[in-house]
Amino acid sequence: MRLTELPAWPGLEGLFWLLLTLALYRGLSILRARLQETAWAQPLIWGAIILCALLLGLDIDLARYQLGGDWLIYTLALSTVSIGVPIYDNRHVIRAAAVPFVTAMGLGSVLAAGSAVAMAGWLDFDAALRATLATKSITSPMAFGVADEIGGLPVLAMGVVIVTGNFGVLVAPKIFATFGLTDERAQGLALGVVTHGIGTAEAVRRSALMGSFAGLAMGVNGVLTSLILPFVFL
Amino acid sequence: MQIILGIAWLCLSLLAGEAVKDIAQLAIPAPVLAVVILVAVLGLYGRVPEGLRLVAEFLLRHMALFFIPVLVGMLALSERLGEILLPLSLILIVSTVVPLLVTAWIFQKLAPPMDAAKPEEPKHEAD
Repeated sequence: MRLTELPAWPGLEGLFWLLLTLALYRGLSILRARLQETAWAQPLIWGAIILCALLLGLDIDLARYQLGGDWLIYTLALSTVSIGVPIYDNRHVIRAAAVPFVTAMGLGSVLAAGSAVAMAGWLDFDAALRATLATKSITSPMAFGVADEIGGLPVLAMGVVIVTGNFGVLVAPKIFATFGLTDERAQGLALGVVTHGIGTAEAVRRSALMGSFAGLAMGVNGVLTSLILPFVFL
Repeated sequence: MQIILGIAWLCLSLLAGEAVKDIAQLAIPAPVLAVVILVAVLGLYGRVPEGLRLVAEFLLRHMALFFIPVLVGMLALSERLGEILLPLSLILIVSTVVPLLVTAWIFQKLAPPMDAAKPEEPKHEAD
């Protein structure tokens, strides 16, 4: 391979956007810690909103941001594989309540993806959008790959998963309180299946037990759904 | 050195995932297959190597950073998103609230109570 065939060199402008992304992430993370708030103050969402506003406001082409931004996306595959470690760590969780765990996880997952796809059908969304919504109960790094395999839009799939996660974390405490769902394991499981990484982080913050259920549910559900969806859609 | 070994564990899992995908002609993303392979290998190995834990925990803790450029990439879809914003929001709200409720409810109904020694409050409804 010739040197010119390497991924685009970020150059001065790409490095600027890369550094700005890092700085925003760091700054917003510090701000979140100060505010002691995890649900509203997501560095991911606000970082992306600020960068989008800058690009639109200054009329800068997205491709020029991506010269730098793409360098962070290269870690996506490694991040996905890393999910194997918490799955292994929390394997004991499933032994204590295997049948309720798998039943609730399976139904929750089918309901999250199925209700979205069904509504998309009624609202006349095209096939690519329906395939994208089918990935919404998979954790975002996996959703990216699965959407690509089944003819969805990978970037939108990740966006949908992330927005779902944020919204879910905001409403979950009210839902649990209203319906008397006090079992920490049940709450962790629901957060892991429906709100993925963002919900799992929130569950870890509440209690170790809730966190381990959320982490395991997120990982196992992500893997199982990723294995099944391609057969359903192709 | 430990970090190098940790990255090697992840890359080897990915390599195995790619190999399985190619050989079996699966439409499943290689990183997902790699997760299954990694968990199986860790089960045989009996513990998580320190380097792998270091790298995996770093990547998982800062996953939000790596996804910022992906979300910014949604700008390319902004026109299309604008057209479907309302129905899409409706879909996301319903398909988040309902499964949150149902998943937690089913588990709570089916699972044995966490602390069997602790006397439970008498239940009034028959279930």
